[in-house]
Amino acid sequence: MPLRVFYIDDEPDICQFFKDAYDSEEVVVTTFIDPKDALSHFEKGGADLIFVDFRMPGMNGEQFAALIGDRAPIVLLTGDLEITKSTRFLKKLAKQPYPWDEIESVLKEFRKK
Amino acid sequence: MDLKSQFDASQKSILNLSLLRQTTAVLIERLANPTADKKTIGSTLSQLEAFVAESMDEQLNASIDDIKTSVRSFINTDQPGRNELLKKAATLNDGLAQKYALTVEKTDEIDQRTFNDVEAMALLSRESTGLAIFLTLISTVFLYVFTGRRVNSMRRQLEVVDLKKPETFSSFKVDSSDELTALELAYQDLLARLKQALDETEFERARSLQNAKLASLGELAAGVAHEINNPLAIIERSLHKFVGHPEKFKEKVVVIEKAVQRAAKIVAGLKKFSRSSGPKERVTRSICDIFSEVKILTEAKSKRHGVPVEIDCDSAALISCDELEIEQVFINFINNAIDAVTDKSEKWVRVHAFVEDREVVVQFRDAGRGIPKDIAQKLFQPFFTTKPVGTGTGLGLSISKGIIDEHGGGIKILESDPNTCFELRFPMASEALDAA
Repeated sequence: MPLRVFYIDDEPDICQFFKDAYDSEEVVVTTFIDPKDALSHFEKGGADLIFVDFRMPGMNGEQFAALIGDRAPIVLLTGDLEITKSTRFLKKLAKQPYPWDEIESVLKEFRKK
Repeated sequence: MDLKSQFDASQKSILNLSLLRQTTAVLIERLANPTADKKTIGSTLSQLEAFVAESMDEQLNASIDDIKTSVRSFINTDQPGRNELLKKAATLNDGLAQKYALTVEKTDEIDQRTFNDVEAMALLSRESTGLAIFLTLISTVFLYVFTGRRVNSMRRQLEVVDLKKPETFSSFKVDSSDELTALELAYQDLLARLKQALDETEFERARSLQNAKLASLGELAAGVAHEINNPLAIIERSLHKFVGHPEKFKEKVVVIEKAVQRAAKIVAGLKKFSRSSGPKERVTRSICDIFSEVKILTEAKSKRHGVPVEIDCDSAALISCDELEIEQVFINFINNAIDAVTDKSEKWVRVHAFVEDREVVVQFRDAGRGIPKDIAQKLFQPFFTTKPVGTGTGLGLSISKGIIDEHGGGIKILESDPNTCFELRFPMASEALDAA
């Protein structure tokens, strides 16, 4: 059973790149530029792991995480240095530029499970 | 001898002649009187001798001397000769009468001449007064014309001077040297000091503008970092992930290229923003052409946020502009409008560009319900933003306003509009006005 991963970022280029880089037979990547779309998708089928950008129009990563609750592990990605106090997240990744190595290690960890 | 001395001399002669005539008359009377003795006749001699012959002609003097001698010999001798003496006295009397008449005539003449002279002088003095008045008038007119011309010249020179344009100050010149020069120099000095003050103000203005830009660059840094981060992230991971897979890497070259262009565009935007000033190129462009380019650049955002952007544009609308700057302004307004309605249930942005009163009017209208007055007042200030930190630096509108001002245009919020509407007005390009 492949790992179902959501990637949510309002940047279409980053979404596309994430999909190109990590979508495989073992990992099914679904990207969303609108967190609301991601939420409705999640309600229908759920996800095994969610990467979410903090700063997005309409709803930020923390607000999104609050709606998911503990139904799925969430990794917060942010370019901003200010870190939310919320402990809702599995991990808060704030390295610059994107913390690809950490993303890959998290993916590897979940694939093993 | 002046007229007065002549007159005085004549008067004296008249007096002498009168006395002499009286004496002679007495002599004649006594000679004619047979009862008068020699002694009585002799008494007139002393009167004749007392008479000092003065200012008399020679003939008269000789007659007087002759009569004196005759009288003397008559009284000193016993000889008759009384009638002979009487004859001589009568002749002398005639001579004196003649001389008296002449002298009186001469005196009158002198008197007349003196009167004439006085008249002439009076006349002369009257004429002099007239001349003086005439000369005064002439010089007044001359002074009026001369001074007026100089003052007018100064006024004209001052009219050319535009206090907002120090370069016009040098048109005020001092071109002569007289009393008015002091005034002109004072003006020149005043203008020089004004120019210095304006130069200093301009320098301060330019410096504070540059400071504001630098400060806003600091503000921009966070946002810019985020903007550059994304393309860098793509590039970095593409190289890392696909470098061992030539086929896949080939595909990713396009992605990398796009990311590089994006980062470069941001850097170029920053560079443009931070430059203090540069040669401004003005070309006449159709608003529609500018909007067709703007549409390409804003389309991605419009689609992503599900906000349709409608552009209705009159092809007659031409403006003389720095194309890139105006493009930047239009993009800014459309982006702002999209951001303003992106969370609303009603989502639309409409741009309407048309010509009105020789001006090009561009209206950016969105589904919003206007802008609260307290916010509207601060809207064009640098760093004012209603967006969360990191998404808006608050410079868009203030920079846009600066660019619009530089193009001789204006910006306002149409408060009467039921929706949110920013109205920009630019002067119509002269080419378009010529054609009209």
